[in-house]
Amino acid sequence: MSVSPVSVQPGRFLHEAAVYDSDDDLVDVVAPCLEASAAADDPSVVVLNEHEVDVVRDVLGRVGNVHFLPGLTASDRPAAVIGRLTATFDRLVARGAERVCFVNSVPHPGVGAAWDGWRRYEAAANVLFRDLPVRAICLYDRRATPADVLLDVERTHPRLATHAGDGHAGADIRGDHPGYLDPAAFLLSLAPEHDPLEAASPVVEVIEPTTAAARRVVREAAAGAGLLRAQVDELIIAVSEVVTNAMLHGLPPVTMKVWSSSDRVVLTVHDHGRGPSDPYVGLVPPSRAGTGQGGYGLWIVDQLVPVSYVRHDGFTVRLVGGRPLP
Amino acid sequence: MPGDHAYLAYADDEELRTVATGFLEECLELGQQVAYCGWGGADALRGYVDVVGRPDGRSRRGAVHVVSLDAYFRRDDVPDPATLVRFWSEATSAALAAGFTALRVVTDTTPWVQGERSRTEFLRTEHRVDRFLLKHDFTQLCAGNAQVLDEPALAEAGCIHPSSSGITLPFHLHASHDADFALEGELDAFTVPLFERIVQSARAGERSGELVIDCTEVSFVDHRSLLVLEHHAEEAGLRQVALRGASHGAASLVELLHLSRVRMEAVR
Repeated sequence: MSVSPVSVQPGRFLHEAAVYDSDDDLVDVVAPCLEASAAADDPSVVVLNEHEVDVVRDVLGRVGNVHFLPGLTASDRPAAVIGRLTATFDRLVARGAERVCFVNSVPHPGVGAAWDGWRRYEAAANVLFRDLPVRAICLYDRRATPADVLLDVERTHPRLATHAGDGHAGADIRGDHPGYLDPAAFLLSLAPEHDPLEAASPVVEVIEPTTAAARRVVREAAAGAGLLRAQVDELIIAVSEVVTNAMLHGLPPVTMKVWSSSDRVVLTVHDHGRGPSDPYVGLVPPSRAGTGQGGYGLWIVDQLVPVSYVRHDGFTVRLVGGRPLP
Repeated sequence: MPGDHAYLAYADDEELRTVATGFLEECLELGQQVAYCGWGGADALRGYVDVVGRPDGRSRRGAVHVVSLDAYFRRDDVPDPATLVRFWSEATSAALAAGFTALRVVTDTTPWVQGERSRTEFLRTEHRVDRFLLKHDFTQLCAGNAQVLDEPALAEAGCIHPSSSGITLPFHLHASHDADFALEGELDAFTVPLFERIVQSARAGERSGELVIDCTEVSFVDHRSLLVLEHHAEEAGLRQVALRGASHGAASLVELLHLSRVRMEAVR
């Protein structure tokens, strides 16, 4: 497999996915990108998991100007990663970089991470990074990646690096491949997903909870599920924000349901409104202008716990405490 | 018992009489002087405490007083902090000089809580009285008439006391031995206006460059409330607002919001 040399114009974000089949394949994808970047005296940013770093160690050793950020895991939050990457790219550009090569792999259920946040991240990247002179190559190991994730990868990346000769590699960003969807449309039409815990009856269901009652219910459920103190605190902040949003911006009645197991808590907050119209809600902070007291809610939630939004039959927010997946 | 400073939102005279009697009665046996301080003639006020110390007559002579505040203050003019603290300080000293172990009073503060401007001054003054209580042999139950005062007024008056009854409040702000003040309870999106007003009123006229808040008893604080403190610090020219003993969750929020003046101290 190869990713063809691409001339990246300053100020243009190129977002491509490379699904590799083997370790050799991974080297074939990464090496030309990093080498081309180094040859042009441009910086590269690498965010890979431990195994991937091992595989491409030789390549990394011979090219220069590579900036390493920690590999992403199931405990990373997309909104936080967007913040870190934006700061990194801005810093490199401020130092004079005309182009940045960004090689990364994104967590998914194959490595124990909830996918919903990361598929929103992949879709939103097309818009949130669009003014940055970055060529992003998102790596997915076909051997470990579920098929539905690969389908979303196609929908969220305008460019797909595929086996040489299939005609897709090197396609211009304006000539998006046919499976690519407009990011906003993709985000607003995500099909409802259910956590396996939701197959059983909830342990608690509260109609029209106050924020204080919602916090109390979640604190009790989290104590029974053996969550760490920090995880409990974060889940309580998250549910408080979500119930606040439903009360202030949704349509009644607001219903909260809680499920718990020995190491997880799953909860949903549903109202009859349409949910936030902003498809990228939660992924970037609001402006600090004005009183500075509004608009942070879902961005904070997104930083703390796995969250998913379902715009179907009203608006539902699902939060998970403890292990992201069963 | 130093620091015993409660607020009662009373529904009618009967409730006030019952609670006041219980509050004062419990310390008579400890050799304290007790007083009911209200508005109007002394004869009418005596009715609120006429059963205190009776029927067995165990209390010392001079142990039970009624005080008409009309003799000392105006109903439409809240005394400034120094004046009211001096009033209670002199009364406490007189009780101790007369051989009592402490002074315990019930004060009907209803007139001072009517009207937003008056209440702002009351909140400032009452917080100074709360500090005085911490270090002196003086305890007080402040009472507010729920037939006269609306709920926001009762909430503000109650929040500036360490405890309250007759009204459910999300949080309390009170004096602390080793911090500028302590917070207790839960702070979220729906308490922001109340919290903002209580903090500003309690801090009015303060000149220190740093504010230390004991948050050990805060069971929840949201980002909006932390932004209230950040903005207060900016407006009041405070270098720093230190949250002592706040939760891990509060620490996460301070970090996420990159607050420049709110700092964590001894996160629990």
